[in-house]
Amino acid sequence: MRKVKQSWELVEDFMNGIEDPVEHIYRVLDSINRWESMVNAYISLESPDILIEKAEEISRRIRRGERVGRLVGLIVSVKDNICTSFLPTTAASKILDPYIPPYDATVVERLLREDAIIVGKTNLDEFAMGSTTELSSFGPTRNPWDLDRVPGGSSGGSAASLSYGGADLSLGSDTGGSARLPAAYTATVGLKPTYGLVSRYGLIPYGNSLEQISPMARSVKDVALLLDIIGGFDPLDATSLNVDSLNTFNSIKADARDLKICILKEMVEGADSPINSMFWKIIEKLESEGANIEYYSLPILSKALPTYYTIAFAEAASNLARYAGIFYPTKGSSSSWEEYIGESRFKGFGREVKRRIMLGVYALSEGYRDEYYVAATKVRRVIRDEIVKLTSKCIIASQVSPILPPRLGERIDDPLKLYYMDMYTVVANLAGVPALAQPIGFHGDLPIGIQWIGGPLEESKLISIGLLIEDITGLRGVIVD
Amino acid sequence: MKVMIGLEIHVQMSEAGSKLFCDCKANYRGMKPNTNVCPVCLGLPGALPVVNKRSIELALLAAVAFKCNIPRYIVFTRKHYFYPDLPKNYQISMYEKAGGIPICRGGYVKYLDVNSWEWRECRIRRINIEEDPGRTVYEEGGIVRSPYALVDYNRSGVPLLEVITEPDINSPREARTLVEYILLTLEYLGITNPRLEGVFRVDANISIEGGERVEVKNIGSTMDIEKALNYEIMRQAMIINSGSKVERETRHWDAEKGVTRPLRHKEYEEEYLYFPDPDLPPILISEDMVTKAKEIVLGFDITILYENILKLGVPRDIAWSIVTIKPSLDVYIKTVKLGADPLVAAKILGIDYKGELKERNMDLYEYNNWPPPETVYELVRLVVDKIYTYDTVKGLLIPKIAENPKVDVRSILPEKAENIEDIIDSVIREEEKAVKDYLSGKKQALNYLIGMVIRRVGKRAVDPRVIREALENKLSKLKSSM
Amino acid sequence: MSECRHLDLIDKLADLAKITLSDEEKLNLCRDIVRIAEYLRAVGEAARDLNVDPLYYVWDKWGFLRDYNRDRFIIISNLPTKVKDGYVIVPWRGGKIEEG
Ligand SMILES: [Zn+2]
Repeated sequence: MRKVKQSWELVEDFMNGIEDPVEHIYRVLDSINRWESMVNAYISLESPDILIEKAEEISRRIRRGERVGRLVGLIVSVKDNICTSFLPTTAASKILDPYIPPYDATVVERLLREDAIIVGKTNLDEFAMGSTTELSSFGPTRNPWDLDRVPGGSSGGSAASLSYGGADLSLGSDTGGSARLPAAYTATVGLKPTYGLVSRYGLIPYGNSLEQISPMARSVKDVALLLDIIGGFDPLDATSLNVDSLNTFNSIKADARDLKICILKEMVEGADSPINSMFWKIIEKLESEGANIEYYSLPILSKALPTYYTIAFAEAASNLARYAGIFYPTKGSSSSWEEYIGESRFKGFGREVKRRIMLGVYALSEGYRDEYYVAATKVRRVIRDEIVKLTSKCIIASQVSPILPPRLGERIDDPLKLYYMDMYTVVANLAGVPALAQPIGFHGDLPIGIQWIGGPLEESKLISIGLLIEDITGLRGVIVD
Repeated sequence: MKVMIGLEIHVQMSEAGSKLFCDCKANYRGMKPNTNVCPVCLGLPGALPVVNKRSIELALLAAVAFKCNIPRYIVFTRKHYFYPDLPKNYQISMYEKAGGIPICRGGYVKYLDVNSWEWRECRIRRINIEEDPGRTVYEEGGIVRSPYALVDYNRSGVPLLEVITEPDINSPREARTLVEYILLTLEYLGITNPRLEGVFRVDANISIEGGERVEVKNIGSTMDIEKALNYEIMRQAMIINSGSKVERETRHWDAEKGVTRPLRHKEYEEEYLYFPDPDLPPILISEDMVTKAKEIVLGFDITILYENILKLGVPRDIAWSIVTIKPSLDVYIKTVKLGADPLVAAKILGIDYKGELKERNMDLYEYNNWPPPETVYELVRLVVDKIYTYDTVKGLLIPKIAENPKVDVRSILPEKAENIEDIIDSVIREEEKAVKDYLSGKKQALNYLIGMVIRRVGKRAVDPRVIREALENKLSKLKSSM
Repeated sequence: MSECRHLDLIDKLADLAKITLSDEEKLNLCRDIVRIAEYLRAVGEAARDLNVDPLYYVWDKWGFLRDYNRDRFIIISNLPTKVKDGYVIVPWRGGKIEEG
């Protein structure tokens, strides 16, 4: 383990001439060269020549005193379900291999406007359907902390790229924990924003009513920096909230004595013991420093997981209907329409995707819709109401995952075991509220994280508490050596 | 034999400017295939729909015009089916039974049946706003056999109104009249241009007492509504007369052959997996929006406009003729405002000028083909002040104006009879031989004399009938004095 | 194929989802889907006692309307699709003659 500068410090140092963007890109490329063949964090990488050229141009502009953006010279990796017009975008699916979108996602436009350098597109479970980044048609991503283990998913490539130094910042996406779970498994930080704070324009949809593009980094303050840039109203996304970008970067560290923390029985029960003990150690520490800790039970949360999956499957079945071999590269060979699309989809989708599509069709079909899809939306309302009510009083603390990073292959044979990994994270997606995952320690070599859940648009509160925890644990800017 | 017909009328909101959920054009005519497309209307991954404000405003006008219950908010749903012209393989529509809320529920149309001059009523069950799919062209063999389908997505995402009526219609003629009335209403409200190619399609549900309901899809013109329904009634009547029962089914109207054909059956009930589109939160229909819509609708209410003309003493057929052509109504209202006699003005615009345009194959709906109200006012004055007969105005002036609607009436006024008298007299004096021939019974000599008069009249307009009449008069006097 | 008693359901779902399946895959999916659907049934049971409206849009907020124009036209032949005379060409009846 080793510690590196935070990204926001790097930007300051670029501007002061203490660091040079060109040297920095060489450093990052070195890490990629060293790790990538083992880890497989990236599906596609920008050519080094172009990256170096960009860094040189940025370096020149800084020296000339030209106006530069807030992410100047930072190396950003982007999950491969976010559209880029200059790099292929596959969502890790064979059905989109190769596909170069004719437009950039809103978040990508915002990154480029701030002079970020996009280094490549990171690996994920196909269409973000998974919790381990093993279900990619480009092969699994491995956890840099232990190459026999998974980095979590579905934004596993983003998390891995951060933890081995292959990027300064990363964009992931979080439908049911897809940014927070990998953050927890790689000692990085991931924040699932309030639903509607970040534009989804250009995010290849899986469960549209649940997901948000999510900033990921190696420190809480870096996550805030990235969030402020990608957040805020976008007229191209009708679910975008009519708010300006939040100013979370300037949030100050919370004082433990001002903290009101709620712990929900249903969101801490059932975790493996190393995770449990580390969680309680932090809570006790906060309590000893004056934080007010309260304990609640919300029995409806025992239904959160099936509720989440029912809604996600239904939306997925619909969103993935478009891949039928017309506009996308994987095509059937039959000359009859019905056979052609059936064949295109058979060839292009992996098994988990097919499973979820068919379950989604089931949940929406006549005779089952009320018992599955509509029922789930009703349970969702109750969960949302309860969580919004509770978070108006306190910040919810919970674990991120009930288990330590599993070994490759350990979880994917049994879908229900796979789904179980998301039991603590889906709540924030169902309720639409923001949630932060950050490291609190290691069990041997394996990182363990904690999750904070706030009320709608209370990202700043989460950043504040995150800064406090970083001070307690010292886990900030950590990478694998 | 009682016939019950209900219609589903799909009308493009061609005047909405842009497509329903993106910035591509709502009217794609004249564009090369697939040049009016973007990530949204091609359904590319990650692209998101945002509702076009204009299309909601226009749809609301229709809902107000048809006296609908207007909901406080509307909700879009997804309807899934796989088809080459549907890029996302779902269509965004408003399905009520799965959380959708349409812009109109429970309205009615009061429409004029011009065959009997009676007002009829047809209830509107619902009006949905939805997106049009692309357009498919089949190669040789058509939809049934074509090896390939060629698809143009320029139409994909164009805003559609789906007007669904109750089965209140009792004859094919009525069905046609109703559709014409609805289209006219939508045209007056600035929602659509009914004359654009493919701008509307009608599906009809039809049942004869005692039989099941048959749906006939894909009717593309008002004339075909009547044809398709007549065919279908005949077909069903023959089944009944032969002692069989009409089965519930869906048929396709083949306009070329003039017949309806069965569509292939699905194994199980159609399953569309409806649910509310998560990308499109409900749209509030504010009281302010409704109030504004009501004001606009009041200004363009065809019933009121028509009855206002009747009140001026204009016969109903002429009044209706004016109302059905929006530019002619505009000119008519302004002409009457200038103080013109409403009846003469109505006759000119509703019958003779319109007839002249038709004869010349000119577009009746093109504003530039109609004269300014001042011109019509002048024509009416000429007739009312007895300067010219109505026939002269009709025979001489109207064709010239149709040729050039912006022409100054004064510059085309025909010579009046008194001035022509002198010319006729001098022609009779000078053309002795022709006069003699005519008087001795060679009738064709008269045409020669008319020609001579016209030549002397020169460039000024003159009615040959007037000359003929005057010449015949003078020559007969000459004969009797001989 | 006797290992799964719900093959008819799987066939129907595969048809609605427009996914052609191999026999082996059908069997695997049948096993998984029946199990997962069983697990998801808990939601229907939980909702039975709830007297609430469905929540389709997490914030219960009104959507906004688009009132601007920004050209986003794209060139269709840049997509991985087959184009003929400007039209997108897709297989249809495969040359086989099928009567309607
Ligand atoms: Zn478009």
